Amino acid sequence: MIGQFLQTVSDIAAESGFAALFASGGLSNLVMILISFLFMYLAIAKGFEPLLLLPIAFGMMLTNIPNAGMYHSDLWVAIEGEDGSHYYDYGRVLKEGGLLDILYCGVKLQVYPPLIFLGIGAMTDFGPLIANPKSFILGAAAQAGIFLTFIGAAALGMTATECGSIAIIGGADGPTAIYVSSKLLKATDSIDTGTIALAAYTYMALVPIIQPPIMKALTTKKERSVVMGQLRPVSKVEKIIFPVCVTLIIGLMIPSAAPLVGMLMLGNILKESGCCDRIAKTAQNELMNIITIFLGVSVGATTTADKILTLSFAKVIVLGVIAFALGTAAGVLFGKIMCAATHGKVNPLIGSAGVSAVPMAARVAQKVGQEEVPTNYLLMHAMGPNVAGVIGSAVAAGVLLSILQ
Amino acid sequence: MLPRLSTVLSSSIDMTPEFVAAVVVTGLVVVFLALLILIFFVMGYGGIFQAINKSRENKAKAQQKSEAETTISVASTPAQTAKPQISQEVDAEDEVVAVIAAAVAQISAENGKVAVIKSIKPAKSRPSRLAWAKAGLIDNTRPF
Repeated sequence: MIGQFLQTVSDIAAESGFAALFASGGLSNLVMILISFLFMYLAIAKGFEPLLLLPIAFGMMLTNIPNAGMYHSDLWVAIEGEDGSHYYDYGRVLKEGGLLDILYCGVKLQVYPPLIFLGIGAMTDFGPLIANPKSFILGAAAQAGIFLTFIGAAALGMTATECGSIAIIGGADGPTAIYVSSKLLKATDSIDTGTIALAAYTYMALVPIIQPPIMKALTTKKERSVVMGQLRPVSKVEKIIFPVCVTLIIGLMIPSAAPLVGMLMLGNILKESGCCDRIAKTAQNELMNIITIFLGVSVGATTTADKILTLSFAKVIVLGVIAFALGTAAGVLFGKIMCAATHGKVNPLIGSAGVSAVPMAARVAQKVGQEEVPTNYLLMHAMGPNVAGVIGSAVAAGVLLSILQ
Repeated sequence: MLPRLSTVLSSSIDMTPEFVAAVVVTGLVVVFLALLILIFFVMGYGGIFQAINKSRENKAKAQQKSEAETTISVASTPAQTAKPQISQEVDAEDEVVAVIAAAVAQISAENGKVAVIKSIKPAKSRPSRLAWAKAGLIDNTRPF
């Protein structure tokens, strides 16, 4: 009996994660667990987009526990069908997959990011954009960062789908980055959705650090001191018509952008209609929170050692900051053009808010403007390009998917 | 059994400089075009709604002006009794005086100020509508 007891304990010990850590390849799991601690520290202590970065970091830790069986990357290898299309064996995922494999289905089926956009739309006020539609141009200009980064990624030898996935980080929109990368990237690519999500959310948290030096370098003191006039009031009817028309126009132009833009505008019309308060509140609270948890932890589960401890991840980190910087610069430069065209009525700083980091980028524009003129309230003016950037990044995502998928 | 292949779409796209340039130019043009269309559309319907709101405001102002004139004409008699004035005493039916006094007493009770009727005198010209009719008109049109 003692012998049997000792044998059983020995078997358990051999199957334990501790034994696997010291086995071949186990050290990389340990390194990944330590990296997950770093991201947890950044999320909790430094406040780096904690709502998503913390679940992502924890998912990273869970997936790198040896023998836990929560995520299996081999289940997510695309199968080529007889007609040349690619699909995943979801039956096998349900049969053999772990908890995080099941949750990851929502990412691969492109369900989570549009639902996040539903919640974002329910929390967004498009009033400043409707009052000053020229802000759309600044939202479009900031997306130049996406396409210029595409060039940089191509120059570093990445594949087309890798280039598209890295470039979309420049949109400063986490759900859009996850949506595009989950559609484009395959198992044979050197990066994964988790890689893109980590970079995107880390840089979104660094917007207040990355943007101000670029804004100050590209503008003069006189330009930063421009005080903008009050925005016109926007009626409720205009706010109701806006989501319907944007969905139809963008959906008809670029159908691949319809899921993101459509859900964004659905959330918005639920809020603005005034007759769907219950479901609007659910969209921006409970639903958003549930999807955030599922999305974060399942995307974090894809950050295995073979995707993170690579040169490609280093390229993603470098290209990610370049994408953000280029987007900010392009927005500010277009803001300068608008300032000149309107004879000094537009403050170029609001152009930097064209990146989709809502409302962080608008707050940064407000803060930099107030450093020159303490009574200059640019926040509502900057919210126009900020929310236009959300639409612009969704359109850019649709273009990338149309070309590269 | 379908073969499990690792061949993926990305490897079939040749990342030549021409392809990269085409992606960049196409992306920028489409994004700008889409948002330009939205600009013109929003400016268009924004202009329409601004014109509609302005015309409604003008109508509301005209309505308020005419209501104010009507209110002044109807309330001129009780207002005068609420403020002390020197005026000629004229013949008035007792019941009318009682009604006016009751109205003044009610107003005094509501706003806590004591009002005294100093005089009651007829309007110089006969109004187009009787006072009650005017009061009813104002009451019915107040929501608009």
